[in-house]
Amino acid sequence: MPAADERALIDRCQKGDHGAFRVLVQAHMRQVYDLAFSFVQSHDDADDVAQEAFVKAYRSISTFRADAGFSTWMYRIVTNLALDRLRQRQRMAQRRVPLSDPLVAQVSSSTDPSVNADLQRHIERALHTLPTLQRAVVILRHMDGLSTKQVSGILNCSEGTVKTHLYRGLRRMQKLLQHLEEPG
Amino acid sequence: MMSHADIRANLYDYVRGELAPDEREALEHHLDSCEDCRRDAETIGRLLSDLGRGGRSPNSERPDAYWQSFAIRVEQELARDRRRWALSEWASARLAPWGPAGWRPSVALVGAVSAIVLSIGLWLTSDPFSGGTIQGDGAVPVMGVTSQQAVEEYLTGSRMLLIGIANMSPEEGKSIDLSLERTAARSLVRQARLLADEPLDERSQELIGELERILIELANLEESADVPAIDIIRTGLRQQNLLFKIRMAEDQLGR
Repeated sequence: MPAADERALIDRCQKGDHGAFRVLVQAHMRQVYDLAFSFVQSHDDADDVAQEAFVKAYRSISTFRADAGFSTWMYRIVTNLALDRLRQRQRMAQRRVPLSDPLVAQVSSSTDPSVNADLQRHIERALHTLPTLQRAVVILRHMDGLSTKQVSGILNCSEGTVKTHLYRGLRRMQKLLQHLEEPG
Repeated sequence: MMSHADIRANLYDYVRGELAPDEREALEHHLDSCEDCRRDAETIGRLLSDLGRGGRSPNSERPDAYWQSFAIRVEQELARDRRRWALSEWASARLAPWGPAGWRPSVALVGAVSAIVLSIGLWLTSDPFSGGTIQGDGAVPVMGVTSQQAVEEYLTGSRMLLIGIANMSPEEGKSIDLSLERTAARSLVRQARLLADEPLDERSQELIGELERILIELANLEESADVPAIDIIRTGLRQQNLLFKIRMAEDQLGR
């Protein structure tokens, strides 16, 4: 959608035009859903987060300023909601007794010669074992291709913090994936 | 001169070729003499080549019907949200005289006791147990006029009692006389049990059940209760959002 059209829709939303908001939802819903999914890795949770993100966006549309793009603004809302959801899940998981590290178990038990074909799956698993902020940075900066500045705006931290989280996240993933590279 | 930490923070941009020429030159200069950072750069390069970028679109795994109704579901949620907001505005306005802004415990207590006295008065002057009639085909319970009236009165009584409890402000370490509240709660519990025989819809039954549990707790409090005991009730009220649910049910019944 051209930026001018989007700006006009936002103006109408800010004046209480529900129809304009519907157009914005339809324009961004798939992108928002994909971002939510990349964090929560479940369709049910992605649905909840995406819906909630638009409700939140509508509620605070009056505070939206044109200097940040609408997508970036939505990214911030989705990221915060998805991180909350992950923290919630983490708290619940902590109450359960862990049986084993799923990543390590998966890799070490694999005797399938086509293990390299599963690399992507292992990478995804490694990504989702990262601490939430590192994961958020890897998803936003690398998977979604946002700039360091955009990510820092979304996560409300400095660009240096984004870079540090990115480095640590990638190093950690690499360590988790070392099992795949080791022979035998 | 870039430190190790600076170098590491910039390795991603370096590997992706996104560094400015002067930064790139400085980083390469460091890599020439630092084995650890060079190894890190290689590791990240390998990982990024495997990691790929945004190849998957999970949204395509949802059927078209999901996307066709997505905006409508958001609007429905917004409508619910507006109702909740309107209700909270209503509650703030109604509770303002007892509200926290500058209130004094004595004022809150007067409010609470007035509400309880009023609620007891309501039961004494009404006859909510006159039974109900079943309308429709009988497969789904439909409330008759008298059943509906009984539920409305029960909800009003519960709301007034619970608002009184919610707005109590006893002083820490001091007990408060709850004999009136206990009497009202017992009366409401009896009323709830009579309502169990009425042909009520599922939502009303559920709400009456939830209210009954908290009213039993209230009825079983010591006559002279302390702050923690009252807080248990109030926490239950808040957690179950009971005042809001009552108001929603009253709105439904009033339509």
